[in-house]
Amino acid sequence: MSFNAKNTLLFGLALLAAALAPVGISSKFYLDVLTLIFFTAYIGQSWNILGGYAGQFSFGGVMFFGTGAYTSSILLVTFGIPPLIGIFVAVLMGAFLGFLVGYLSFRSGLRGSYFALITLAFAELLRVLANSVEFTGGGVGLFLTYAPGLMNLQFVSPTGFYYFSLFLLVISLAIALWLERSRFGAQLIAIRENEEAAEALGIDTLKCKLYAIMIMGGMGGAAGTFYAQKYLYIDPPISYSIALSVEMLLVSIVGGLGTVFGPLIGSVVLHVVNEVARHFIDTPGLSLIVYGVILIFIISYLPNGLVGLFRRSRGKKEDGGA
Amino acid sequence: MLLPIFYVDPYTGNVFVIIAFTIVVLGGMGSIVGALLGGFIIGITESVGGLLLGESLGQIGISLIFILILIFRPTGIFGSKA
Repeated sequence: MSFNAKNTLLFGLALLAAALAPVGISSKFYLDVLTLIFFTAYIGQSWNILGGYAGQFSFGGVMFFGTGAYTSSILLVTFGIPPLIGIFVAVLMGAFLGFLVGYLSFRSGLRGSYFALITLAFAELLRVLANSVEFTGGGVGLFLTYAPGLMNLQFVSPTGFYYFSLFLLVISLAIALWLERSRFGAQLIAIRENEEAAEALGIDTLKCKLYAIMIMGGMGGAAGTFYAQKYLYIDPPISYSIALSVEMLLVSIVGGLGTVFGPLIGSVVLHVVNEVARHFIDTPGLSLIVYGVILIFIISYLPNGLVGLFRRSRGKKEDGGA
Repeated sequence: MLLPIFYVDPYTGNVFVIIAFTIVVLGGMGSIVGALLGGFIIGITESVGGLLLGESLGQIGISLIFILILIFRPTGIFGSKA
């Protein structure tokens, strides 16, 4: 994305609108939907950094989320360390896990579906571990006490969580924007397009991929803390759910792989479609069919995602992209 | 074949999809002998794991062996070098 005056202005206006939204929206339901949209966009962006920019698809992105959720929750429940500090530990743990998984799998040259599957296996491994060992609460899960306050990252009104998710979203957009403009981002894109050629050009592909998965891990860790403090309960099936892994790659693919605003657009569209379908179709569960059909259409007819549609309608003004 | 043991619901297949995929990657994509051997490995790991490590931790076997084989043999046991 080029960073001209018009784009900066648009971005600033959108941010201002988002910041002022709670003043205009009194319904707690809509605020909660917006919070979820931002949250999904954030976690989708974390996947997008490794999957979209560096081209390394992972099916186990949820492992960073779950590890972050457990890190800050165990720190809070067992050691009494407030989540405001815990969230940073969660980020570190997520990045460390990313390093571990990335080092093991990238070093042995895994890529494509093999890499996707090994991340899935790591997520399953962690789920079984969390289910079995004592300090995670086992299958019972961890209950967090409700004590609103900034130290606990808990808020009385949905507005607090709304700003929390908005804050996370802005950080993720900033990281993506930085990637678009930095040398590191260009190296990741080079790896995506042709790894051998990138290597031949002197790019340390292992190091770049490791940095990418560590960024993803750190972002996922913070997302875990957010979730735990919002819902006050985590257990292994929630923390390491395959559904969330799928959701984070879905919003990126629907919105547009390797784009700054792809995950956000994908997240908005998917949530709105989901809510509208649920509103108009009375039979429970049937709304998912509409959701599924729309997904199939987007994926078959828009290979570059919704961002690609937007670019095409502007007559290919911008070169490159997804 | 499995219905006397498992009950039927729309999600019945999910468990087997993952296991089947694991087996194929384990043995090496496109290798018949590999799939057979992979099936044996996974089946034995699952049963013995449950016996040795207990009900809950026993499930770790499949993912653990999958990770180990992929790390040391990135294209599966009988996979080609391609």
